[in-house]
Amino acid sequence: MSRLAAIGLMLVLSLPVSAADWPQFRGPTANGISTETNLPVKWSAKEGIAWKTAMPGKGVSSPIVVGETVYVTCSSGPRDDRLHLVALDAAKGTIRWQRTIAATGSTTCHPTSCMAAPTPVANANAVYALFATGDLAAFDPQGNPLWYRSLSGDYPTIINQVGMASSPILAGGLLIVPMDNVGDSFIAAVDAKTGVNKWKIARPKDMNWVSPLVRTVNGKEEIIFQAGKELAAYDLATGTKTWAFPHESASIASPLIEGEKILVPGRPLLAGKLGTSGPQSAWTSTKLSTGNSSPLLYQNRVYAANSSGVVTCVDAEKGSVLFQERIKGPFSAAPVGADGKVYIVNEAGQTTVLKAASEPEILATNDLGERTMGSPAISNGRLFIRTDKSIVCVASNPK
Amino acid sequence: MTSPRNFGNWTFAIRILATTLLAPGDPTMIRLTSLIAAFAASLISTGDSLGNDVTDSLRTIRSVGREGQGNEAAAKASRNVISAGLPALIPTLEAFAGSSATAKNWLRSSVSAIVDAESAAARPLPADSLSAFVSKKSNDPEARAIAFKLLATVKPDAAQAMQPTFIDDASLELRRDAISVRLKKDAENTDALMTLFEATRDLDQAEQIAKLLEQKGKKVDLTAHFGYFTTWNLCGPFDSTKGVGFAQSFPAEQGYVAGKKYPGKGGTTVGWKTVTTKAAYGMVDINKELGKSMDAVAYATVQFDSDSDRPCEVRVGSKNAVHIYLNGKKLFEREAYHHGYNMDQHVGFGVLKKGANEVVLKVVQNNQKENWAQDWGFNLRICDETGGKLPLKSKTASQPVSSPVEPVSPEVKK
Repeated sequence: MSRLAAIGLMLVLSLPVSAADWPQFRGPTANGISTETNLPVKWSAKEGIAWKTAMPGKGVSSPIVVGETVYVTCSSGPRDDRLHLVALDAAKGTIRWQRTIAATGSTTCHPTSCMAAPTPVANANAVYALFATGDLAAFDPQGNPLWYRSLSGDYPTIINQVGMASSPILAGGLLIVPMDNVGDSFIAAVDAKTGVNKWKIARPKDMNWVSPLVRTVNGKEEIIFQAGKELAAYDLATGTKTWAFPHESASIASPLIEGEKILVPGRPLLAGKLGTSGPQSAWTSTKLSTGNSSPLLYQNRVYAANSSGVVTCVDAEKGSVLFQERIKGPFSAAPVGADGKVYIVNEAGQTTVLKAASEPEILATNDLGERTMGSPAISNGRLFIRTDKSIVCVASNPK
Repeated sequence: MTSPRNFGNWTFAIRILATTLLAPGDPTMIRLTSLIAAFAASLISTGDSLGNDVTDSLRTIRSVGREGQGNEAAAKASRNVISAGLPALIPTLEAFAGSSATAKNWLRSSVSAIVDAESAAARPLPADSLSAFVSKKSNDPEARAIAFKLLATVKPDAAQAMQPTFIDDASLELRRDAISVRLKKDAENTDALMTLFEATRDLDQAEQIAKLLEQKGKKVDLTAHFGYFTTWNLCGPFDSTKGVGFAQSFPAEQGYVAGKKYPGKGGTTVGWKTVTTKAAYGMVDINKELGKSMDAVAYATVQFDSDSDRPCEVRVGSKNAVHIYLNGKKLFEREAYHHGYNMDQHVGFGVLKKGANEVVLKVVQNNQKENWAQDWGFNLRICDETGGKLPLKSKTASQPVSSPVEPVSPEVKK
């Protein structure tokens, strides 16, 4: 190696490693797992908090983190028709910018939800926010508008009186927009730069709150989307349905993929290998029904927190129950796993921290004292939890 | 960037100075004058093109269409508007007028970005311009509400002084907030409460004021306040087996004809029945009035007088599929069953004629078995764009009550 090349290599290797992003619903790989370490274990409303920033409205969406920015959506107003996207400094919690748009679709929903239910998605170039009204907006990291769509305006028969919550994802320069509902039901891929449809595929007219996934198979990317009667895959480039797997799938808890493994929440939950044309079931379980919260696969164990406050942990290979532990529920947030721990946030804002192990061990129960429906994000050694009123950054060393 | 007029003054001043210091005809004088003139001209033309740029950019943003049409150009235009800074703020607010809901959300974000940039540069927003914009009632109501919020950040006293004038504003946001503020002050004053009750357009606020009035011994009619019709001519059921009734037109769709009979569902004969509902907010229970039916269509009509030609909004709440007709013209349809009821969930935009008008509402029930899917009913009101009731005189309410035609079974007909 020449001296110049060696110097170049040293410079590259000495560059600081960037903080792990949490750029979408359930994190970088959409399965609720972070590779971060030295994460906080214990905190309260007054301790272990790096910062807490009041939000302009409520929300059930999860926060996301890209680089040094946290993005979170909220909704407000007597008709819940003011839709906000807030960008905060991840280190300090100061609001960098906030954009507000007016809802152009129905704001009807279940009392526990609101219009800021889908989680945004972002990369280094842009942040994309979908609201339950069908309003879809993209901004650059400085808050300049890139594009905006009124999906309810474009497709006026979109209806979901319980409120929509499926989150968009980015794949191959496209923004995948899931809009299952009982009217004009579809999944669409829009050009991430312009918001113009690349493809739009009709879906079953049914309510569905699950978020899609993307995976690569045989060199091609496909979108995997679960609904009430089946798990389906769509070619990313064209939207062509490539396979469908009939299954009594959940319509709220989302599936996850880890390597070749897939977990499909439903009645029963199915675990197996995801082949080129669908899952091959390894085992199923009726003990892992969760209601609202999506199950977690972490360190070869599946964790499911149900609406009665029971956490069930099963062996991911065999499906055998390792333990069931009653903690305080109910849960809407999906558990997240990192640093040998599983974090489970209940709707009252209490986080139970379990040791990731085959026996139950509660490391801490931490109470923020504010209603919390969205799943936490993990980035740069910190947890970001959004409550109904604020977003909280929890850190091992807050100062 | 200064105005062309100011540069004109500058060049004049420099010329005066030059003529003082240099002799006429001095080559230096001539060169200097030419240079000044050229410089001033370039700046004036730059000022013009900046203005045109913003105007063109706003036009581009306002042109965004369905399914992202125009988004790429709108993004560039938005950047242009934002980079123009403060001079573009009021024009961007003005651009709300006549813009689509989609365009307005683009404009909203542009206004927000301009404001952020000014705040970052520690430059105050133009309170006088914002105040003038808010005061001009012909400006777009949504834009006025945004401008008012901005005014409140730079000159809170001025905003506070304006607020009481908004209780009957075209902006629902300004109206609601103004009423809320007055309520805190006048909760004990019956006359003031009545004024606020007449002004409010929001259900929750109206109910709140009604409660306060009741505590003062004054009962108000919420159903009448929102303009719900309570007396209807109903006809049905007609057959909608397999849902065909939604798309199919039945003769009763042409409107009320006293005494007319039609072939109904299951071989029956049906006619018009006049009903008056006492349910809150004018809810009509078709199951109760015509008998419970599944896979069925009913028509409801109301005739009324308008004192003028005017635009209107026909607003319907129903868990069933509906069509809305005004004077024979379809304004709206929605084929959705049992997805909840909300006030004003379906809106048809139309034009009333001076004199006699008729609304026909088609309400379609499907055949779902669930307990929550059995309701068959509706309510309907006609209002202006603020949701305020229009001065309409129902003629149906004053018609003689027609005798309902009892359905005749096929067996009896034989």
